[in-house]
Amino acid sequence: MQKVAAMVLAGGRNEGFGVLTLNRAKAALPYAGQYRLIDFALSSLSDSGIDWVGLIIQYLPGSLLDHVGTGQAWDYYGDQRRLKIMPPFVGVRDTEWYGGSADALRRNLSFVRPHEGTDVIICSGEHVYAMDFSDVVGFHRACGADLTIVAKRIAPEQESDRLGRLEFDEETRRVRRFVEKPPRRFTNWASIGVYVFRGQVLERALEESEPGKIPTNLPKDVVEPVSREGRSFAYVFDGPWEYLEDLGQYYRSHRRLLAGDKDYPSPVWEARTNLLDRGLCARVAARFGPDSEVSGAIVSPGCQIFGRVVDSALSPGVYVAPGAEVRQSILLHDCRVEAGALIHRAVSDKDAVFEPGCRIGLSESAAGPNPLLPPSAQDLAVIGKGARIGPGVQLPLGAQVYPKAVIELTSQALAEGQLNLEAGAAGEKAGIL
Amino acid sequence: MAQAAQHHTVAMILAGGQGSRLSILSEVRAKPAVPFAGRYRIIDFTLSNAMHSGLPYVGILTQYRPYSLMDHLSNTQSWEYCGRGRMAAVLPPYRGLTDSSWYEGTSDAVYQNLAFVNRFDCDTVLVLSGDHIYRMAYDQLGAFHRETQADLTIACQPVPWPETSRFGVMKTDRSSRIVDFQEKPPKNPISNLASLGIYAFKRSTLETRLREDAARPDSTHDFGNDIIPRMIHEDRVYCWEFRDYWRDVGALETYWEANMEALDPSSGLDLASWDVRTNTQAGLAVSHRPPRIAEGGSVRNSLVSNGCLIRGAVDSSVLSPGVVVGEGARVSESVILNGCVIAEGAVVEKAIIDKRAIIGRDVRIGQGELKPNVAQPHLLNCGLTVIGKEVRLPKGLRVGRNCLIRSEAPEAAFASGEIHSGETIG
Repeated sequence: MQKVAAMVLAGGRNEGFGVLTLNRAKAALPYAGQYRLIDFALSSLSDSGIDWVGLIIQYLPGSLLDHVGTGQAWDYYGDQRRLKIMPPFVGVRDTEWYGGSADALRRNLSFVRPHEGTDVIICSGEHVYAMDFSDVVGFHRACGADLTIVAKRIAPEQESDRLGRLEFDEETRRVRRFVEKPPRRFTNWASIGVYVFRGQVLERALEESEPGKIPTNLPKDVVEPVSREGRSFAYVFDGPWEYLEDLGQYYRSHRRLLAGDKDYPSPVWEARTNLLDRGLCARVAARFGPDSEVSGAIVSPGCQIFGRVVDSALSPGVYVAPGAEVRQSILLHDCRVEAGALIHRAVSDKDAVFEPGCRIGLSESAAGPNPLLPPSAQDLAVIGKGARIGPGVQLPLGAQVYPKAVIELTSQALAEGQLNLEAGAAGEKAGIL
Repeated sequence: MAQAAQHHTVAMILAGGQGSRLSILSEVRAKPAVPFAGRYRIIDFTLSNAMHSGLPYVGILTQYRPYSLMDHLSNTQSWEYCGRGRMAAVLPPYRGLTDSSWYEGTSDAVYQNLAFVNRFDCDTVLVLSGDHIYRMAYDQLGAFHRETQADLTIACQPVPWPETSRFGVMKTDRSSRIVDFQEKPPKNPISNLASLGIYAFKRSTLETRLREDAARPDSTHDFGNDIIPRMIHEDRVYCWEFRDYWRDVGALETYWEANMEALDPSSGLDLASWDVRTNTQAGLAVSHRPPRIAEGGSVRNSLVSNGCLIRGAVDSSVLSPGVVVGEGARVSESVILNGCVIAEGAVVEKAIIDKRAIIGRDVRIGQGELKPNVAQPHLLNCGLTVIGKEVRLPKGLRVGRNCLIRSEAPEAAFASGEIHSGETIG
């Protein structure tokens, strides 16, 4: 039988998430309470029966490695089912960090054994989706394709300039034209970063085109030329898919999840996650106090809710005290909201503490837009990991608090109306947008 | 964790019981495998105690319908019994050259596994129950046991005098040595100090007494009936008083009560601080998605597990994974096990509903006169109604209080549209 392997790209540096990606790769971002973005790709691959998976990492992989662990959570264990983590490495030939996705693939390609005629799935570990990869591979083989590009018609609310675009024959599905991030959108058919290559074709395409010139960017340097020169086809995908381009998209994607459907928007919700991560499996069932008021909310295991929670997603272990209120917010693991605190349109990283009577996101910023948050996130308040918002402190929309920062009523930065509170070095501050 | 000292202790957990008093919940599974407080099963509490006490070797004695229990225990990794030097072994009955029998009683189960106990160089054997809800540091019990050089130490707790008839009660002298004992005294109890069924034995004495007892043809081979009364008269038996939360949840009403106590940490059952471990991976159909409370739903004073979807009103209840409560439905003072559906407009009051039961639209459970269950008045008399596994209650059915509806209930039984208080179906 012809073999299939997958390479998951989870190594890129991601901007536009403010302090949320200061210390973690985007693929490790928590999502919908207890998941992380990487869960969706790994669950889909596992459910599609793809047994041989490489995970390419580079940028801040700590929390991603913690979460993925051995891969056992997605049934990757045993002799024939393998999840191999592929950090950058130095050797005789390669002595640098990965120069880009194509470079990372080239340096790890022996894993997929292209000479044995393997078909290679390449997919993103940072999107929210559920896909039957075996169906994509089946299509690829039936077409006798060198390259299959998964195409999706993008809904207006999900449009982005960061997607590749393609035109193809609606009947034969033969790709006519593929352009990565074109300056002008020529179609609403986008590539969602999922490709299937014939192994040998991929191997050749990744080689140096001339001495010293190796491909670095996968869509630009590999997919574009192969789509022009080889047999390439478009697989039309109309399942659930979300591209979280930045913090604003991340936030709105949660709101859609909470508001939209009466039921869980299956099959995204069928994803598996690593239950050992942050002791998820040992948490108590979500506990609701005698006067709790909860509506339109995800409340993960280990949460203790005594106050009011509306239209919000709470990760495991969040505590909401009696008389506290959380509205239209995303609170990650183990945040504490004390009595009388009011949280509105906040995205808070783990372990943050909101002390009694603090008010988050109730007013507009007087200082104009925050240059360190993307335009889409100016209507949010963003709180870093382990930050402490002191009693009575008020933070406007557009404010951003750095990890571990302690914000008191007496804080000078607060008095000055600064929007980015208690950053580290200036370089670090500038680096996060 | 007193790791070094605990190398001398092996724990044997009795997990075989059918639990007749837990009635229909344990007809299809061993009592320790019955779900509790949403995400847990009863045996998780004892296993977590063993883990937190640093006991490296545990034997789990199974017999009655062990499938769901073994499924849950899996490779015992959830309680960190994995790797070199730590082990929790499931010990079902077996056939040997000379021994070949089901476990005849609790002490027989340990007797037949003396070889397991003796594999480890231990001086103390803990004999524990798999169906109690409590948090105990067994290392403290062990330390007391060694200090007094006892042959047997029994963990005891004072209980209200009227309840002594459910327990073995102990009379002690000033040094805490047990001088007299009554098993479930129907009247005139000598003491209200009740045995919790948690024992620390000196290994050598235990082996001697088990071998003697095995040779006695008239013995029931039961710790409570045979071994312990004899030892109280012949050996050094001490009482170790345990004053924290402890419940035997072997009866439907105590099971329900303990679940309700899990809603209120001031009861002493403070799950948030106990760090009870469970195996969340067992069972193929288990959903791991976080619970969701839809717009228009409400939840108060409740525990809601993963995979639940709440569109109606839930109050003072414990929901296991995957329970769906439809729009306009009301659930109160109830324990709903995995995968049940409470359809739109249904009202459930003070009930235990076993796995994957479907409560149809506008069904009403738990309303009507307070009349004890006719067939088993001793089991159900406080108004609690129990619905068996995978039962489907048709639209609009009315079910009274103290009712028992078994899994095999025929559909025809619901034809009248009403199950009166105290009835048993199936």
